[in-house]
Amino acid sequence: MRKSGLRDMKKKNRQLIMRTVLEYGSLSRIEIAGKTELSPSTVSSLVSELLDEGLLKESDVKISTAGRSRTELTVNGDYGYIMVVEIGRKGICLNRFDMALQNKESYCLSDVLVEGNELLALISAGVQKSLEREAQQYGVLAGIGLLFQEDMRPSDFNVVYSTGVSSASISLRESLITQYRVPVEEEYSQTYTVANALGKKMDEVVRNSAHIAIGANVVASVTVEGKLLPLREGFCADMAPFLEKLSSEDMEESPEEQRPDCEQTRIQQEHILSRIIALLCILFPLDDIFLSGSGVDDKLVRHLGIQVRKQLAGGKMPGIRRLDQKDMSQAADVLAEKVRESVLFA
Amino acid sequence: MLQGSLIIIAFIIIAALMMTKKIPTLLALPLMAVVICIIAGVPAVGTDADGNAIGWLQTVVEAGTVRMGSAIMAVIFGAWLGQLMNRTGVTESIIKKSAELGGDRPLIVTLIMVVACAILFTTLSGLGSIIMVGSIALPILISVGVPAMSAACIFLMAFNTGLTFNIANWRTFSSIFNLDISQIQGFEIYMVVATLIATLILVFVEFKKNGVKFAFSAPVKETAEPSKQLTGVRGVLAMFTPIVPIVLVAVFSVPVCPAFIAGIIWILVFTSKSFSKAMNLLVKTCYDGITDAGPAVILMIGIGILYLAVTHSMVTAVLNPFLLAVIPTSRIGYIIFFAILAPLALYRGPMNLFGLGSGIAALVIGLGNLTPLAVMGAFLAAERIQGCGDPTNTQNVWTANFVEVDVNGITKKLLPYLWAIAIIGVILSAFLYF
Repeated sequence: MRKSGLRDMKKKNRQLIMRTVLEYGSLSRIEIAGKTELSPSTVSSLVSELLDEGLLKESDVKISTAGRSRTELTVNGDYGYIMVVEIGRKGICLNRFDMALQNKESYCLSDVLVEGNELLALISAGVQKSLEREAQQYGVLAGIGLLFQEDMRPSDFNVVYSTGVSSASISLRESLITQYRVPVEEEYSQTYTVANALGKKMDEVVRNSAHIAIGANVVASVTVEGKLLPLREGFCADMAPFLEKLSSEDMEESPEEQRPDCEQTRIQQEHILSRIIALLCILFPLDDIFLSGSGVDDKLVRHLGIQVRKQLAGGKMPGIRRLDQKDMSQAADVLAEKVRESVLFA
Repeated sequence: MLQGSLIIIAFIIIAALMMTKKIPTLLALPLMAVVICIIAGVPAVGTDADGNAIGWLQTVVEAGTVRMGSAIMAVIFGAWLGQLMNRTGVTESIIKKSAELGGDRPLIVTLIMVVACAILFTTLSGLGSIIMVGSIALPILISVGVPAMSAACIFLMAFNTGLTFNIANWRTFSSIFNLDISQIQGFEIYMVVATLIATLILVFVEFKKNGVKFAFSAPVKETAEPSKQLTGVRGVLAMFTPIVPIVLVAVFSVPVCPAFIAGIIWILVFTSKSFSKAMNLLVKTCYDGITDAGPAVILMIGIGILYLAVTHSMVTAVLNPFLLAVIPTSRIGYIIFFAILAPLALYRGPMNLFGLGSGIAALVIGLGNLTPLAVMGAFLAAERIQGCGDPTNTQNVWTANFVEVDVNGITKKLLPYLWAIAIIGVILSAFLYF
C-alpha cells in the first residue's frame, strides 16, 4: 500500500478513537477497541500517540477486572483553551472553555457594540488577559469561536490590515487566524439557540419550532424535525422589510386621529408579530414559537398567544415561549464544542 | 524651468512621505496630482476657447475617478469569483488535493504546491485570498521540512508567478498604458516563464542549502479534510474554475469581465446543490467581493487621477524638457537605465505601477521617444520586483507574520531572483519593442 494510503488510514483511525472518546466521555483502551472495532494493538499504539501529544489523558478512575485493572481515558481538558466571543448589539462577551468544555471564565469585554480593528484589539486584549491569568495551569490557546447575533453579517466586522503604505480589508476571522494560528469558527447565535442549545434540554419539544429574535432587525428561523430549515438567505430570514410593509398598511388603514401614541404602537407591533407567527404556523407544522430579544416579556407573550389564537381561528395553536438569557447562553457552549472538533480533527 | 523644478521637488517630498509611511498611497496619488496641477498653473475650473473644460477639478479629479473604470470592474468581478472559490471550498480543495498528490516527497510536494498556488493566483487576488491559500499551503510546506523563511519565499514567488497571468491585473495595465490587453498578454507570457524558472531555481537552491531531503520520506503533517468536500466529476470540474477565465481571455480573446462571469457561472454550476442556495451564495459573495476589492478600487481611482494630471497638456509642457534629458533613446541606454532603476518599484517607489509609477509611465509615453510597448515592457519588468519583493506589500507582511520571519529578510532573499527576472524582462522588451 502507498505511504499516503497508510497515513490516511492512520489519520482516520485516530479520528475514530477521538470521536469515540468524545462521545462516551471516558473509556478504557479495550472499550475503545470494542466500540471502534479496531484491533487492541492499533488502539494501544494510537492512544499512546494521543497521550504523548496531550490530546488524551488517563483519568484517575481504574476499573478492576479479573486481570489487570483498566485505566479510563478522557479528553485532556488542559490541552488548551477555547475562547468563544459573543458579539451582540448589547456588548461583547468572552467565554473561556477548557478542552473538556468546562466553562472556566465568562466576562464582558464591552457593554457596547464595537467593530473592525477596535473589536480585534478588544478580543486580543481579552484573550491575552485570560491566557496570562491561567498560564501556569493550562496549555495554550487552542481555538476561537465567534458567535454573532443573528441579524449581523461577519463582513460588518472586517478589519483593515495595513502596512502603513498599503492596506487591505480582511475578515475578523482571517485576522484572528493570522494573529493566533488556531482554528477560528464563525456562527450565528440563532443557529444554536433553539436547534442545539434548547434541543439538548427538551429533545421532543423543539423538534418543530420557530424562533423570532427581536433586535435592530426581526429575524426568524424555523426548525422542523430537529433540523434548521434553509431559508432564502441562510438559516435566518430578516423579517424587517415585511414588517415595515405590514406596518405602513396598518397606518394607512387606521383613521387619522388614532395615529400612534406609545400604547397604540405597542398594540400595532403585537398585531404584526401575531400575523407573522400565524403565517409561520400555516406554512410549517410548528409546536413551539420561541421569542427573544428586546421588549420580549411575559406580557407580550400572553398578548401574542391571544392574538395568534384569533388569527388561526381554530387551527392548531403552538406554544409561545420566551427565551431568557440563560437559554441563549447555551449557544456559546455549543460553539465551543464545534471549535473543539476543529482543533481535535485538524 | 522653475515650475518643473518645483514639481520634481513636490514629487520627491510626497514620495518620501509615502515611503516613510507618513501618508498612505491612496491619499498620496490624488494629492500629488493636485499639487502638480497647481504648480503647472492649471486652473481649478475653466474652459478653453472651444468651450472644453480644462480645469483640474473637471479634467483631473472628476474625470480621473472613472479613468480606470474598466480596470476597477475587472478587479471587482475577479474578487467576486475569488470569494466564490473560497466559499465553495474550491481553493481549499485544490491546495489539499495537490498536497496529497505529492505524498511524502518534500520536493514533489513543494513543486506541486508552487504550481497549485500559481494557478490559483491567476484568478484570486486580495489579501483575503492570500490568507486563504497561505494558511493552508505554508503549514504544508513547513511540515515537509522546508524552513519557514524558505517556505515564505517559495509561497510568495509562486504567488508572483500566478500574478503575472492575473487577468484583472492585465486589465489594469491595459488602462495605464492605453494598450490592448493582447499586447499586455504578449509580454506577460515571457514574464511568467521567467518567474516560474526563477521560482524553480529558488526551490532547488533552498533545498540544497537547507539540506532538505529531495526524495526521501519525511513526516508530513496530516492535513485536515477540506471542510467543504468536492467530490465526483462535478468536484473535479469545479477545480478547473481558476483556469476558466484565463483560458477565455488568453485563448479566445473574451473580454475580462465576461470571462470572470463565465468563471462565476462555471463554479456555481459545479458546486451548487440547489438554485436558491446558489442565488443566495451569489449575492453574498458579490457583496463580500466588493468589500475585498475596496482598497484596490480606491487605489485605482488615485492612479486615474494622477494619470490625467501628468498627461494634462499644461503639465506635460512643463515636465517634458526634464524627462527628455533623462529618458534614454538608444537600446543599450534603455536596457541599462531600466535594469538599474527596476528596484525603485520597491517601497512604492517611482517604478511601482500601483503607485507613482503609473504617472511616470504616462509621462514617458507622452514624450514620444519610447513606444508605449517599450514603456510597458520596462515597467512590467520592474513590477516583478514589486509583486512579491516589496516589504510594504500586505501579502509580504502577512506571510512573514504567519511563519514568524522578518519581512525584510524575505526581500533580501528574493531580490536577486526578482532583479534577474526584471533585467531579463527589460532586455526582452528592448529587443521586442525598441
